[in-house]
Amino acid sequence: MAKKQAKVEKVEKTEKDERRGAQVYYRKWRPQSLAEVVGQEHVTQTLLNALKMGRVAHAYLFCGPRGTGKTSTGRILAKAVNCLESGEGEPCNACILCQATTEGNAIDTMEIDAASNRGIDEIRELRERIRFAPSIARNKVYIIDEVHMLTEPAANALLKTLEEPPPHVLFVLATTEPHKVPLTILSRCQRFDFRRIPQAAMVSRLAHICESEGINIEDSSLKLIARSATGSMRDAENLLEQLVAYYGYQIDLPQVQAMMGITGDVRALELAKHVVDMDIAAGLQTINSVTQDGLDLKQFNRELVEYLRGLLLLKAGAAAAIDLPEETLSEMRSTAERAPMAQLSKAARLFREVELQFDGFSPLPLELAFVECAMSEGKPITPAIPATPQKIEKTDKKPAPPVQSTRTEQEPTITPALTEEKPVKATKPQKAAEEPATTPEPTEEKQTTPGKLGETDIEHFRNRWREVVDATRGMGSAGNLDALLRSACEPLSVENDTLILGFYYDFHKEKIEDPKYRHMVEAKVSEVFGQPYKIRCVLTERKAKTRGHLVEAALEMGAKIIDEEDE
Amino acid sequence: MWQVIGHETSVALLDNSHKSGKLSHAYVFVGPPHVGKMTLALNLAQALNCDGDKQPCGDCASCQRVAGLKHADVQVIGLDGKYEIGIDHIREIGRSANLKPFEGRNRVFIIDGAEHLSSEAANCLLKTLEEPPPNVHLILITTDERLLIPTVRSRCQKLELRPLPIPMIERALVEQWAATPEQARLLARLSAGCLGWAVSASLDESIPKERAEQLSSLLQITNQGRVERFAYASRLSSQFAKNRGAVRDVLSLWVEWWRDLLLIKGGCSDFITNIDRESTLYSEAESYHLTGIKGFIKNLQQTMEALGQNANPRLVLEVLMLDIPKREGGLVSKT
Repeated sequence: MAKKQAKVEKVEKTEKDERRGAQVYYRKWRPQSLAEVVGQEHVTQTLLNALKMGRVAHAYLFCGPRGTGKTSTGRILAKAVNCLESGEGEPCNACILCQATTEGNAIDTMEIDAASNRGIDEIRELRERIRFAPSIARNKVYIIDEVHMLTEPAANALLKTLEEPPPHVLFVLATTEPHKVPLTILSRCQRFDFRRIPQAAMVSRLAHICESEGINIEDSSLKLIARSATGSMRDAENLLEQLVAYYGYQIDLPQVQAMMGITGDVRALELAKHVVDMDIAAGLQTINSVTQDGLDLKQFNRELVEYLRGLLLLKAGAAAAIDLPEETLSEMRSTAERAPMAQLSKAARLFREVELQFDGFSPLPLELAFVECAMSEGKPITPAIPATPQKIEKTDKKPAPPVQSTRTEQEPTITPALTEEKPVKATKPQKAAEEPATTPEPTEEKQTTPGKLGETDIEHFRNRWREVVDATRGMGSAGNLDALLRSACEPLSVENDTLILGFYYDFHKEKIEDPKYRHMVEAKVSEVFGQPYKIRCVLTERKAKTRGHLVEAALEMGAKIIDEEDE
Repeated sequence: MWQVIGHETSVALLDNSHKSGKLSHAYVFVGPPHVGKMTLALNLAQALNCDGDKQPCGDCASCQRVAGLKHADVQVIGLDGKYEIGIDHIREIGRSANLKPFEGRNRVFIIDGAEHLSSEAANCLLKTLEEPPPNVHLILITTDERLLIPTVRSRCQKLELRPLPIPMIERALVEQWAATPEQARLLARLSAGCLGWAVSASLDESIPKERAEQLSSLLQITNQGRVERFAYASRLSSQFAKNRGAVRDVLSLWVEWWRDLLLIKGGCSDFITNIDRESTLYSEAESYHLTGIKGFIKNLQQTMEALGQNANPRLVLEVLMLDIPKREGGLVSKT
């Protein structure tokens, strides 16, 4: 009789094994003992100690990101408190009760999906039943998963039971979003926060799975999987399984990269080069060929940003921080030399923003970002390296902003397609530069003292111009000097200790050139920037960018600008 | 035989897993609309219940019934005209998943538009999605996986269906849907890699006709003065009240058009979409600045975003009309 029963059991067991074999990895390799739970030592150790001392609390709350072992730990705990073999410490996983819990059909372990049974009626029913003693095991364990989805009345109905349950009951609540759980529930449970699983721990677990499954895979591939899983074991196991489904049991690194959409494509680097060279045609070509090949644009963009970041770091002289092979690095070095810092940082920022705009599959955001990078706005770009003494001499003879020299250097690289844009771009700085020659400045002093090189960066002035404007509030004859400075001019460039202000109208220019006002402004500029500065006024064209399209349209319809204010 | 065109990687993966009996119980197919997600999902459902040798055969009674959405064990849950998929639908899945398959071997639940799952519904799905009973498979279909909650995403194997290469669509249209080569050439480009759209456009004559109309009115508008532009804006906004999608389509048409101009201007004309109007595009491109084109595309995108966020449609569209970049040489007529 007993023999027969054993045989039946055995048959059942093989069936179960078979079913388990067909399961996805994250179910098949669910940890079955506390030791197997990866990367949550602070939880498992505490639970283990509590079990050993027989001081298990009556309500636990497990929270943490997806795939970190909350439900699994809950089940292990359920097994541990009811295990026939030990009853303290790890479950044996061999006794009937342990196995029944693993199978999910233990009578006294109730796993409730709070997201599906979220109403007060379900909780009332639970309260009714909770009073009865367990049928076979020592304890009744209620695992309430996704507990954040309980409705408010349901959560409140649970409170009394949760605080003082009958002695044979153990509650395990699990959730990914503890902030949605009412505080009254939180305070009645022992809370354990599960952490994202560290990469090393995940790799070793994956290696263990691979070994048992007979999968041949390198450590570097496993690292890549672990990295893209962002701390969730389930994500990692899913990826691994997908790899096995596609490539079989022999997996190498390029295959893993392909699966993750990591192109490792040279075209990302190429595009970065086109950005630096401002080669619009070639860049658009590259983007479209990437799209045509059906590559993951998001990933492609990520790689591009990574390269741009590399270029930035190279330019800043922090090459050590770049994690790229030596050949790529040397290639990037030559690109980095050609590019001004401002352009690189702008490109990196623009392409970084593309990430958010992707609706998925259209190359348009990439194209727009690229065109924006490759096309300068007509804004004078300051050289990344502060003007050398040589250049200062040059500017002394002919007061052209240093902008000019960088412009002409870059011009030959602009493709024919852009030629029509060129005159516009070229004329603007020129105009600004020529203006002082035509309208002689009686008060102007040729600068001879070498200014502080670090302070000659015009961006620095632009950023803090607002402070100067605010400081002049209430000054001037009508007390509106600040309004004039705010809307009638902008800092154009800086030469040693002279700040050049570009005015849009002659009228305003003359007003500020009046020594009375000039001294006021000079004093404030010097005050804000901490060293004496002179100002020189030139006429300039107002950039379209400073005005909205609506203002443009209104102007066209005959409106006049009375006052302008910053946002 | 899998009937999906393209998507070789995904099909190979599913085929391998199916043959070795290692299909996951939960997949999420991500891809733009009309790219073939549903076709692939139904194909997978066929494979899971097929009686033929080369699963999915597509010929056996079971496959036919799945294709006709008449199979008792293959259930498609979608929006059904509502704005989200509610918890009741998902509870129903949870219940019927526990029943044995009725006529086939496997129960398959296809959730079309999984991004529309309400937060309750998505959470309710979690337990079933993680550990469904044996012989139950769930396939989630979505255009944007970022809209799925991470806990759902992490329970599924993700297959990304990207737009198909244009030549492949062209070939498929000619070979399988008897389109003329010119028609196929144009439609393939217009489809942006989504075969489903190209096919429906090749079968339905009103779609290309409407597009032609919209394009000509677009061209006309850029040549006209403000009065006509505002009139157009008010026409479009009155349409918006009835049919949001239509206005969206018009705007995406505009985006496509200006993108072509951008490409031509940028010296990359091989990849333009509206190839049937190539000459117009070239002459139009002559009269705009790259800055203007780029700026207007951004404005168009902002307009679409604003419309999506319930801004006053008429105001938004009127502003857009003001944004149309000026032609070089002052061609724009003053009214």
